[in-house]
Amino acid sequence: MRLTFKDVTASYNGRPVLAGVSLSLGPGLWLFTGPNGCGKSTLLRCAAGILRPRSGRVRLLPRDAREEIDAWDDPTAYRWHLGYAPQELLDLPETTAGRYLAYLAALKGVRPACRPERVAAVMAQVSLPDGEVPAFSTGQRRRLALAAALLNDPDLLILDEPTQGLDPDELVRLRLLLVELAADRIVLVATHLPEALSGCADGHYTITAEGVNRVGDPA
Amino acid sequence: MNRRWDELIAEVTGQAPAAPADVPDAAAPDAGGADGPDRAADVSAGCAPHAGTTSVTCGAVAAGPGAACSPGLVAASAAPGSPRRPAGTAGPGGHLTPAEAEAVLARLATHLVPLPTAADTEALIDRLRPLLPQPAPRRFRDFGLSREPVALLLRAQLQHFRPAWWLASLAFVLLGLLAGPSLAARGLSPAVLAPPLVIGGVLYGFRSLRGAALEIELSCPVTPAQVALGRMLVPLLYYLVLGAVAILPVPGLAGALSGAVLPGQALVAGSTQGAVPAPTGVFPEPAYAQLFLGWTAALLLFAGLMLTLTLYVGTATAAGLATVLWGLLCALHTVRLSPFALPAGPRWTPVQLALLALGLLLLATGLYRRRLFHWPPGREA
Amino acid sequence: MNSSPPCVVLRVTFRGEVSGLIRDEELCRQVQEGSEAALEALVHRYHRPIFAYLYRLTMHQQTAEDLTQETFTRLLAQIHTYRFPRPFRPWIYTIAHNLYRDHVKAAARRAFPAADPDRVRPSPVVDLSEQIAEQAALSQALRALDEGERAVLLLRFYHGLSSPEVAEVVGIPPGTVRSRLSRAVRKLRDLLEPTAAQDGRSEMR
Repeated sequence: MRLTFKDVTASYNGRPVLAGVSLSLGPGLWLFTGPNGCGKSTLLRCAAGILRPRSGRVRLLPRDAREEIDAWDDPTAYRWHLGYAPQELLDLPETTAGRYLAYLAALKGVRPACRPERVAAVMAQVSLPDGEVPAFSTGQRRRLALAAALLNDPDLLILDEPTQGLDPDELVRLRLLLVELAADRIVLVATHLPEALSGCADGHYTITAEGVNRVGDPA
Repeated sequence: MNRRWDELIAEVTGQAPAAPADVPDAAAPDAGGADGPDRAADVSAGCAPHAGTTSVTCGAVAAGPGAACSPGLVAASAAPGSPRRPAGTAGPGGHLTPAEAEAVLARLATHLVPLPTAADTEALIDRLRPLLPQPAPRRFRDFGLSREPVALLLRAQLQHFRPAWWLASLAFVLLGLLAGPSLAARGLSPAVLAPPLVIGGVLYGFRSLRGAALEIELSCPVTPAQVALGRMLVPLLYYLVLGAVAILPVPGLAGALSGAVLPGQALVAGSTQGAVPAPTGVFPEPAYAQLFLGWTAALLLFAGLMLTLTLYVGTATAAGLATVLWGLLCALHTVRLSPFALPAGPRWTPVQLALLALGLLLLATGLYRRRLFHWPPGREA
Repeated sequence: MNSSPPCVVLRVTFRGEVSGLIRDEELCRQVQEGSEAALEALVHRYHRPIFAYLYRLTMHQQTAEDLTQETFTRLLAQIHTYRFPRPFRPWIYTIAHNLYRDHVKAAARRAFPAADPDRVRPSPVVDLSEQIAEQAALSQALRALDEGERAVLLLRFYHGLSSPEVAEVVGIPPGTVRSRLSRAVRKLRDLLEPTAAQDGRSEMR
């Protein structure tokens, strides 16, 4: 199981943000920190198949697979193995969490017979009670996005700022959940608060204007 | 019988196995060996060359079916006076002859051990059972995901359309019914009301397709075009049905709405300038069919436009552009070139059909699985 | 006292396998996945052979029983390391053999000998049936062999392992298997005094 970035160059809103980034990540929890606007979200969006890099390749080797899947040569296959929770908070018009997750489950290819059970399972996994989404707190919205990302039991889990807006209890719960998930998945997390998660991370990368560097490596 | 013995004997002596025991008169040390090649076939053919013995199950039956030893051997100890030891004995300390080897093996074969009983075996199994590995729980992805291409998921999309919308659309069409005669008076067909209906419906259906929700959907194994088309089909189909009900004369409906003048009839009356023909049955008159064609063409054309434009520039801009286009097409009516005019002249129908085809073409792009367009993602914080 | 082969049960249980006995390797794989039926089948197949092997090595019933159970326990503990279709038989015999060696070493360290080998029967002075005498003679002869010679002989002769398999179980080069086997048989020939036994039998009759 491996996610590979090869010489990825990407820009966002016209600005070049990533230049020739190469990374190879196996199962585990990988943190990405750095100042705003330097490309954390862009990197994660490229990994999530939402933003197409100018050049370079993003490839995933799923568990039990022999061949890598390129995010842009075979987008549908790539997204089977992917779960993404964006930085922006989920803002949905009148709908309940359960209904929304059932809809996404359908989009992600969950079998119709398995959908209700799977939705209940991911909501339990993130400790999210059902309810009207417009009335959700920040923490609940973050958990809803996380639940959505887990619906298809992905090999690659990408979370952009999952810690933002969480209270300390929720932070602890999130950390425990991430450690459990990272045991046999590739989990990418962009965060402003590395201290909250660095203790349990397998690797820590900073993204600055100079590029992507692994913390702990000599500069 | 015992090839395996032969193998063993050959191994330990370096020679082929001894002749059967009823060749007792070879006195030379290597007699067995000399006879060996000739006798090998005989020996291998049969096992119990010792005359006068009865075969008894081998004591070495301890081996199970997977590890055959030398079953069915002669228990030589039961045989009186049997010439157990063929000649060719080299004697203690000397070179081992095949005959001697065979004799040793034959005796060894009778060795007994106090084997465990069936009850012992069951008891052992009971003690071992708790140590069985627990099978790993199956991952959800291995059984819960269908690898079929994700269909348009009409049923799933329904959840985005609340009851309020269904009613509002119906109300709009009823208002259109009432406005029908005045439209007809201006020479416009009901098709002129289709574009705003579509634009409104798409704006409503896509209202959650922005920001985080849009990004999440884009990270699903569906193309952006499929996402957009899926959201669009529900309103589209609904409007087609509403249009059909309003325009086409349905016998029951005619009775229910008696007193109100159906726009179709009014329009037909307007265009033919004759008496209103009574509805004659399930199949509409050509005039009704034309009106419905006009409605459908306008619907599909603007739906296709909205889909394509949304994928390029986003929903809001697409809605704006489509509205402007609608305005232009309406304005063309002043020079009698609007597609929304009442059916008139031989060119009307082909034009409508062409517009219909164009609309279908634009919609069909949503069915391609390749990523055709790049939907602008949300803002970066 | 042949163990009744449970093949009939297996044919029904394992998805209607009609082609005959299921291979050990396939059973092992099923045990890896937690199949109780496969475990039972393997134990049925190998309980007696492993016991017989350990008994002939130790010549002590209780020790052989304990080591046999330990063999299966260890097998289950290591089952996750099994890779199909690695041959099963040499593997289980290797475990048994290593357990025997550990037992011998431990006994030596404890500085008193492993339990005295069983006698076949307490010996009355007269009226020994010739079978008992024969058994005693064979047991003694086997005991007289070196440990290495004995193991090789037992595995090759009683348990039908091939020379390469024996080499793997005992941990010696394949060439050594043959020489040890020869030595063992030669020693047994010398020990078993066949002429005397034959005379003895003639007398009895």
